[in-house]
Amino acid sequence: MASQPRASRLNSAIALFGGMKQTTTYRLRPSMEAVRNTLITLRGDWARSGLPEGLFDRTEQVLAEALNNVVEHAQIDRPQGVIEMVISGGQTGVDVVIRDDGKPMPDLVLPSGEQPAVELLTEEMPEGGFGWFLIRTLADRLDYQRAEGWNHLSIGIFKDEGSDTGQATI
Amino acid sequence: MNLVTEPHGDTLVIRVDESRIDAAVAVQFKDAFRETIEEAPERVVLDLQSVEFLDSSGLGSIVAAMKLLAPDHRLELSSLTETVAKVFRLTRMDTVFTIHTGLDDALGVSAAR
Repeated sequence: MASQPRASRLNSAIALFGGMKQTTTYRLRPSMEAVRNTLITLRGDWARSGLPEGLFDRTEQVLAEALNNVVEHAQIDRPQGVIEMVISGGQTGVDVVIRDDGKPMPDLVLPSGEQPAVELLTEEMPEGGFGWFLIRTLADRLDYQRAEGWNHLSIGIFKDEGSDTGQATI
Repeated sequence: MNLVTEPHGDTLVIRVDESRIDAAVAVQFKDAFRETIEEAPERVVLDLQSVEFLDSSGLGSIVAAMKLLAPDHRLELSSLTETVAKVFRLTRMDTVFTIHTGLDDALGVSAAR
């Protein structure tokens, strides 16, 4: 019987300067199916994790692109690789760290994610290159670090009345 | 990947009976679409009313679908949910495709000709 790639999660509450900060950690194997299942699970967990209603859609879009990028590049040919996603937040925003044990980002910098041109003939129309553009457009904060053989991508998505995009475009 | 075809006069409507077109199914979408259009008329409308989530891979597969139909056929879109419409707007792909709010709109244009 084939097993569906599952996301496992661990809820933890961390005492921080006397207050409580809830974080949820999702662990997944590097496959697009596992990414999909993790996001579906996240949708179900969102409200009871105390995360801001109204930020889920934007967060899901960013995380789909970021996680797909990890699977396709950092974790290519690494079926036993590990991806972890740690989510925390409150009513004003969400912080996510995606860490994985795969290959580093080329030159250790994030892609610039420029908007692909679309004023083109049909046969020249791009089918790719939108992922980092969407991440940079929708996220408010992005940071990448490489440490001890792990990639750490840190993403911040904050509430902003009247805006459905973020501030992380260069 | 479930695509449901509905002929309407000189238009073929292809309804995507999936809630997500994402990296997990982008290749399946392209393969299923290619098979579905083998005897398509000149005008094809892709009905996305059931699709609640589209990532960049899904968007790319819809662009690929448009290219599969060109140049003798054209692909239009219908019934985008707000999250999917937003992806088209942000990427400016809403300037590339004719996008109908619903099938009445998509087929009304056809019937008026």
